[in-house]
Amino acid sequence: MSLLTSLLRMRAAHTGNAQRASQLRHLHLSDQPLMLLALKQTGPAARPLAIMLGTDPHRPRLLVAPPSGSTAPMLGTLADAVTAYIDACQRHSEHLPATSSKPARRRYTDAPQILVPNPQTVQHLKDLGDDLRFRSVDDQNPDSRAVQRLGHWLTYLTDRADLPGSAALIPMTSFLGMHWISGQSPLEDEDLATLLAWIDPPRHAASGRDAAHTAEDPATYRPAGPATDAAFDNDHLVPLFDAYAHARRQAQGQQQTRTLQELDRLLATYMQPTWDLMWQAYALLQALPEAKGTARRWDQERTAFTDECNYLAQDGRPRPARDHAVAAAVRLARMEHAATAFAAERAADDPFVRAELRTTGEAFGGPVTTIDPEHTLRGPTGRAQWRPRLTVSTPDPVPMEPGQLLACHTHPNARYKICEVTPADGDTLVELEITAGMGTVTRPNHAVLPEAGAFLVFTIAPDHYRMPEFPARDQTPWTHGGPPADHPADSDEGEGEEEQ
Amino acid sequence: MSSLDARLGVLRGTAPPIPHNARTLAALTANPSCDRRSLLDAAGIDKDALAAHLGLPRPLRKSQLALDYGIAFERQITAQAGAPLVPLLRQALGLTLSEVSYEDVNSVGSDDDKSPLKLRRAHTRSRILSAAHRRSDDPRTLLDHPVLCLTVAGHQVYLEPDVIAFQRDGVFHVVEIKSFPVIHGQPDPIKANAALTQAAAYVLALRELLAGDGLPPDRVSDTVILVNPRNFTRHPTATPFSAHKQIKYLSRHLDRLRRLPQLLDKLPPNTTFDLAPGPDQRPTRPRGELVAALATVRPYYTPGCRHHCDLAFHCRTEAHNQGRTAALGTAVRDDLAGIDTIATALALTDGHLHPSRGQKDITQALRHAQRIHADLQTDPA
Ligand code: SF4
Repeated sequence: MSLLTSLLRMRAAHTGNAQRASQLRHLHLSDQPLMLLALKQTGPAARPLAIMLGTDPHRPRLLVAPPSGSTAPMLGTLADAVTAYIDACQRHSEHLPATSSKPARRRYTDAPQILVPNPQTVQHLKDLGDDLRFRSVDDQNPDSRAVQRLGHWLTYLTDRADLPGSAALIPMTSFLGMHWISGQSPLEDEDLATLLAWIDPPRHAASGRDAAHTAEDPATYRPAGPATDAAFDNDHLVPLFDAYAHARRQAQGQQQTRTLQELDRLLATYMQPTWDLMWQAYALLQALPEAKGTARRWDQERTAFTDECNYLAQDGRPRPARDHAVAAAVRLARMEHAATAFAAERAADDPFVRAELRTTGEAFGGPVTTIDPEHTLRGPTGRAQWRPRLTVSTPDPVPMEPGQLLACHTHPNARYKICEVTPADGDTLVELEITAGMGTVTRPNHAVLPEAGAFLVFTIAPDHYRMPEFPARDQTPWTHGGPPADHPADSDEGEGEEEQ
Repeated sequence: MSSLDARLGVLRGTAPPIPHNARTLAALTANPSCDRRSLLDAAGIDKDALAAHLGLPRPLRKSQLALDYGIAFERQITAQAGAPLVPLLRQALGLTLSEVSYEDVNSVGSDDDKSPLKLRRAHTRSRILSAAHRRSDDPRTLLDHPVLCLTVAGHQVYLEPDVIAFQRDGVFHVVEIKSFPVIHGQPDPIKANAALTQAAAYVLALRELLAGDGLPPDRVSDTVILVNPRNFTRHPTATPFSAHKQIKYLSRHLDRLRRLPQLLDKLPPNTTFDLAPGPDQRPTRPRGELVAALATVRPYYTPGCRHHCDLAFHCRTEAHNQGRTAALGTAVRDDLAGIDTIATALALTDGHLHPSRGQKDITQALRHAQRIHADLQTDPA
């Protein structure tokens, strides 16, 4: 959060309408994302109640788990649906020529993209993945392998979701929050219905605020899950659950089926509004132009997906329950790297992001006042080094020290070193020296020199990043060590009846 | 009856008081700056009933499914005289419970007893003290359904921990049974913190009891044991957690509650939150009056209130109507420290208002942000 977003939040609250934040989409949006809504049963850790999913806005598929008893058939169907979607991404591949560090290889031209309503759903899928990937495979039951595989994919996808810039599994509320600022609190923004009402109110609504207020009406409001609300539990689910348990005890098959059908209908109506909102949000986001770096990040996503497919084909043991030290360190380093890289790319691509950084003191901007294109330094070997200098006059506070390295959106590969910061009535003069990206005296790259008067924004340059040295994957058997010691009885599934 | 009690009674009106419990104490610490909540809770006022009468959503309404699940889990743990609990605690605490003795304090009060709580409390007290002084040869190693007392703002509050375990070397441990899962050794941090804050109330109560008999506070461990379903099963697992932070925080907050008389002095005369139930028990209090009465006590609204307070939707509307920056979240509130309303902040930003001395820096920063944003609109470079 920056002061700029705080200001926009107040403007939104004051005017009653959401304010635009970034107008460029930094995450790839697939033409055929898999939309997925999940409800969990209140109580047990990760017992699904229902999943609504599909790639066609008009034909959602609803899978419902029975209130008690085995969820295996439902999970089997879910596994088939998700696997079919993932398989479809592997239909075509492209050839990648060898590079200095990697041999030639093939990469899938597509990768799965799953859109869910909110971060809570991501957490639920993570739990579900943790549960399912350790389920034992039973040859008698063809579903069991598919279910274990589903667990694996859920773990992969939810892991990706932790990585800034990844577009494999995206919570819609966070996605929308990158582009619009509502007049409610960030906590309330986690609710898809009200957030979307602020952003894209129905035509008859007087304002986003009014629409959000209407969206909250308890009579029509449906939370996007995965938790169901207490009123729905008490008024609708409890009676059906009781009826189901009763029919089950009495072994009244027909009654059981009828109750399940009723549950199906109930949940279909409960989830439909959120389903529609998801597609409404999708359309809004799709209309945004993509930022420059978006396609490249999606390439990385496809690389990661291809790697995972290869891993599954070759090894396929489930990831461990908890990362061991080395794996955890690698993971953390990768996340930090992804976060820095994503932040830097967004700053390079997106004027809004740069504006935000200017309010947090991580960037400054202003017109170029003077340029010294001939400036040279004596290097350590005594050879002359070309180091053009320029001065920028900025109205922004510049809480930076001489020596700080900066990047600029006009030439992402160039680097600028602060030589001097001089306050001058109201504005601040910053003298910069170009230290990278300008070529050499003999082969200069004059394009990097700005025109006097050009308006430039300088951001703190991302640290030059090298992945710390970790033991190689094949020397750390524990990174794919398989089920933990406490694996047996990790799930109630198969223990049969748990009813009192 | 003390005059304090009498004054609180007037605020509450005809309804019976809702006593504090560990959950409400834990919730108090979630928003210690809220006078409104402190006062309503001290007076034992049913905040959920207020919200319902005002026709507002009731954020803390409990799901029957959640309750049933929790009860079933607790029963499973304490079944057969606590048999499933013993191996768990043996492991979590390193207890040498070769000869475990278990007692359910619940079984001492008969159903028609008017004050089973009082009775259970007396039993708990004598059991605990005799164990602490090793008066009996048979120290109670597990005490189920004990009842403790804690002084909250000068009042005795009854608290009901799940289980108290007594170690042979003389230290008591609070054991809480919770139905949220511990997945691969990790519980949900928010739920775990709430559970530990509740446990902290029990620790303080237990210390109060022992202190009354001249025993030092370190006879009650800061480490509490949470018993939860393990991973995705209903099999229990016991995990020791340090509740040190929560204990310190809670006791500091309880000390602050002593300001109750000052809060009461600030109320206009005749203030009451009485819902005035009619013959059919339906509230007859005009809503406008109730809202006005609530307005006499200072709230401290944050969007997080909905996680711990029944009145969240009322206070939210109020904060919206007053255009409070806090309604937009703690980030906005903290960014604008010292400016309470959105209108003031925007007037300062747009130059319609002159900043006071304390507002100079933030005003400058806001105007700067505004300029940058305006540039962005005209020149999207
Ligand atoms: S909802 Fe209102 S009364 Fe409750 S804690 Fe928040 S501000 Fe206080």
